[in-house]
Amino acid sequence: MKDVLIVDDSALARMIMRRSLSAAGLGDSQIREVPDGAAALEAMRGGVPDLVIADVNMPNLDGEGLLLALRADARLQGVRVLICSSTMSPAKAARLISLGAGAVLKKPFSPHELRGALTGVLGAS
Amino acid sequence: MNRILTFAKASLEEALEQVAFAPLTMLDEPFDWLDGDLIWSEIQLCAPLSGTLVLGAPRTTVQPLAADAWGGEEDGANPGEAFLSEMVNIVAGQILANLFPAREPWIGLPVYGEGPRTVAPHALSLCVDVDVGRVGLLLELEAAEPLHLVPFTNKIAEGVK
Repeated sequence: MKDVLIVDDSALARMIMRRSLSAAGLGDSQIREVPDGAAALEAMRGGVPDLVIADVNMPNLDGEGLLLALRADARLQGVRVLICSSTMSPAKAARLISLGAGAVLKKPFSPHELRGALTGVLGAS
Repeated sequence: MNRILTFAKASLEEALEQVAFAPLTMLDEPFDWLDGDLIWSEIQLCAPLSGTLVLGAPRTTVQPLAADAWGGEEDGANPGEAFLSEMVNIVAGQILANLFPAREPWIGLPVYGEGPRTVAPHALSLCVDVDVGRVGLLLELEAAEPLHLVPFTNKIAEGVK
């Protein structure tokens, strides 16, 4: 069973991701949800997840800031990260990958696209 | 249709289909932004284009769309507000990412509103029908944006017939 942390300021987006993870075969995962990057870092004090799925555009600490914070923390730098955002041009995707994202996913996504991204990120590192 | 509106329509269509399973039909009539029953969400476009994108619909239209999107899993948040805010976020990001694939899109955070929405004189607008009612989209770009300089990429060439 995997521990997955969903980080998105939209309650609807979090619900869609939760539902999509179930459809993608991760329904037996322990899923935690938080509304922004700062809350994600706080949540990770209680346990390091196997996978973080983070939006980019969030208040307090955005997805890119969260990615940088994870990579700078020895305890958290191995956490696999899937970035999921509507603002995902090829240029932005390339930079987020270079910063350490295991995969990126453009919103809105199909279950097939999510499965592909999960394969990419869980197969990485 | 204006090239940016063509992208806006495609983005709205994809978002409505994926999130609320709602196909849309374009209407030639203007959307009524002065409807007192209107609820809307707007978001700042920061780069590469500057301006504001607004998505709105009468409350009676948003409710069934939001219900379809939530699928009975509302968690206490205002379902209509959450629906419109996620939609405007998706559409804004898609428009910028599709128009400028070689650049990084930046947008703000959605701001929710209720009641009539003032429309800037230069605003670009769309009105679509989604079976349960009409949805309006407004694009208020900063006047200095030279729309004719938007690069005509292969992606655009594929999307604009």
